[in-house]
Order: sequence, then structure tokens, then C-alpha cells
Amino acid sequence: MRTKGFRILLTIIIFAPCFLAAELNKVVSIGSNDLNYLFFKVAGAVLDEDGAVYVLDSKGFFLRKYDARGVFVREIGRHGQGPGDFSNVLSGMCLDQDIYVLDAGNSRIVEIGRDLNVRSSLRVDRQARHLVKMDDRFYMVASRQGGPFSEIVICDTRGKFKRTFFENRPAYMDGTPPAGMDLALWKMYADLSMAVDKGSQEVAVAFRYPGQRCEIFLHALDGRFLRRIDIDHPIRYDFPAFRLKWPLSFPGRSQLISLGSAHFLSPGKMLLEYWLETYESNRAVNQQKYLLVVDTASGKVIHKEPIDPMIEIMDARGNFLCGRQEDGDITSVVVYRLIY
Amino acid sequence: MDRLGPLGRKAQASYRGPWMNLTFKGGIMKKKLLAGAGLIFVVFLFFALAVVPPPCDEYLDWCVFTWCPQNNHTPSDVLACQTQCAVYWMEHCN
Repeated sequence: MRTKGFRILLTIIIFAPCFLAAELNKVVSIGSNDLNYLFFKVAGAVLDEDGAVYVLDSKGFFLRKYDARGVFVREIGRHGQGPGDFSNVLSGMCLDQDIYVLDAGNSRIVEIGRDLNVRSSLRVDRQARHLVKMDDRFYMVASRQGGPFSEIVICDTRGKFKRTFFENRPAYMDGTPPAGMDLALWKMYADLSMAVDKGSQEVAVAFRYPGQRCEIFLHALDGRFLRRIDIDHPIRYDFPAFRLKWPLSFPGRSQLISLGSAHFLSPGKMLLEYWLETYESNRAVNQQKYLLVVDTASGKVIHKEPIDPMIEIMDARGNFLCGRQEDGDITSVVVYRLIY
Repeated sequence: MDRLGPLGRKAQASYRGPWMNLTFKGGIMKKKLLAGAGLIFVVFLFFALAVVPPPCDEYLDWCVFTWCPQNNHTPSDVLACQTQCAVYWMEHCN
């Protein structure tokens, strides 16, 4: 009897690491009906080295700081045009030495200290999205002038335009760009995901809607192209071409793969939000979401983690991920630990 | 001496400014004006706090890349929203 018990215990000890090998553990969850923990529309959430969480709310027009245990520390912001006011902050924020909020409504980037004191604001002339600050440069995704494609814009720390890069287009979009409604469809499907890594000094760019090949284009910080890596799709896939022609004529069944946000976990490892949707006519009948950990040297998927589609990852720092999670009426900002 | 008479004196006592010349039945007009001003203030406040879409030359980018991803969660919902942006842009900006 004792031997049998010992064998069971031994089996658990041996196989436990296998079960624990891949997990997304909730570390801190912030969000309740309490006024300091209530969110309306989380536009950005970032994590600093000490575990503090900064949350930007585009409907509440505020930026809040919570400590590593998720306890409210401070809040700033209101709707307006003055210093510390926000107008349209749907495009989110990023963290470097300070916090940087892209306020498209006021055409500016607001620099805010980690103590939530406003330091300065920089005027930006181009309409852009997805702000990343790295050393003395800002990186943003913007639409290329006069066409459906997107590119990466580099500005200096005074908000002055420096240069653009990334002239690729999805392989399934060949020929002259169309006009009218088809142009708008091309624009939608030519969107980009971007991530910048301080360690490897690389800028990774990927098409949000990949075709047969799911590619990541790696560039140096000045925009020089370095290399391209291919990631294996978990299924045999090609982009459904009917989506580029208006009016849309949906077939009986189709699939769509899309990438959400992209983040560097460490030099050489990237995290991608990967959606796989199955449609019956124009209705999505099955939606699966995965977190892919990709080796940026080989393009191999090191780890594939299925996650709740209601989780949206907004920042990553090492193995810690920060995102928003919709749970009924309550929106929470959650810090996870990804173990793989 | 008293040329106003009792009605005139009552009218003089209730007179509170030139705008009262607009009243016909006591303070009803004043209440209506205050209610109207309050309503206008509420409407202005609503529009001031709402996220106002940008003009036509920026509308499509703003709607497709900012508004839809922020206000929808799944790609199918985002795409449906973006298609509506494109239709609106075609109808109103072309």
C-alpha cells in the first residue's frame, strides 16, 4: 500500500513540470466597481521594472498608476486641451524612461513622469498610431501618403519627422492599388503590427493579415532592413481574396488569420497574438486565439498558448504580460506570467 | 400723487430687470429661458466630452485604425466596424 502511494507521488513529481510547463498565470488583477479601480475603455496598459502598472483610459480621459500589488497610487487627466488634459488617446501609450501618451485629438505626444507629473508635450504633424519610444526616437505606424499601405514613421524626441521605412506590401495585394471602396478594403488589410526591442536594437514589423506566409521583417533602429523570418501557420492557409473586392461575396465557409499585437519578450524572442477565425458566410462561427512565442533567429514557434479571446495583451516585460480582460460588464487590467 | 395705482405698484414691485419685459405671465418665461439654457449647456457638455470624429481627409484612417480596434474586440467585429467606416467614407467623403 505504501509502495503504491509512493509510486503515485513519484509520478506526480515527475509529470508535474509537464503540466506546469505551459501556463498563463494571473499575477495581479485590477478592476472593480470601486471608483479608483473602474475602467471605461482601456486604451493602453504598461508595466515598469518594479511591477507598477500604468493604465490609460480613452473614455475616462485619465492615466492611473497602480503599484505591483495592484493598489491605486495616483490618477491624472481630464478631457481638454490644456497641460495634462487628454482629447483623443485611443492610440495608446508606451513606456521608456517616462510615459508617453499619443493624444491624436490634440496632435501631440505628452511626456509624463512615472510619478504622473506632466513633463512636456511635443507636437506631431502626422496622423499616426501605435507609439513606441526607444532612446532618442519615436516609432509610429502611419498610412503611406496617397495609398492604401502603411509604413513606419520615425520622429525625434522633439516630435520632428525624421524618416519613414517599410515599403513592403502583403503578397496577395499585387498590381496597381484600386480606388474607392476597394482602396478602403486594401487599407484595412494592409495594416501593420510593430514591436521595438532595446536589447537587440531591432524593429519588428508584421502584416496584421498574413497570406500564405506569416512573415516578420526585422529592421535596425534607423530603419535599415536586416532580415525576414517566416512563421509556420498551424493550418494550411491563404488569404481569402474575396475580402478585397467590394461588394463582399462570402463563400459558404472561409477562414481568416490575423495578428494582434507584437512584443519582444527578450532579445531573440517575440510574442505574437494570433487569431484564427472560421466563418460560415459572413458570420464568425469559431474564434480561437493563441499567444505564439517565436524565436526571431529561426522563425520557429517555441510555444503556442491558447488563451481566452477576451484577453488582449498590451505590454510585455520578460515573462510578464500586461493586458486588458473583459469579463461581463467589468474591464480588468491583468498582469500575467507566461511560463513555457 | 399715486399715479400708478394698486396694479401699477404690484407691477413695479415684481419688476426685476429689462428682460422681464418679455414676460407675459409672471415668471414663466424666465423658467423657460433657464430650462432652455440648461438644455443647451447639457448638449454642449455632451459634445465637448464625446470623441469627435476628424474631418474627411483624416476620417478613414482614424475610423479604421483607431476607433474600430479600440471599440471592438474580435477581428470579425473590428472588420465589420471597419467596413462600416469605409461605406460611410464612400458616401460622405467622395
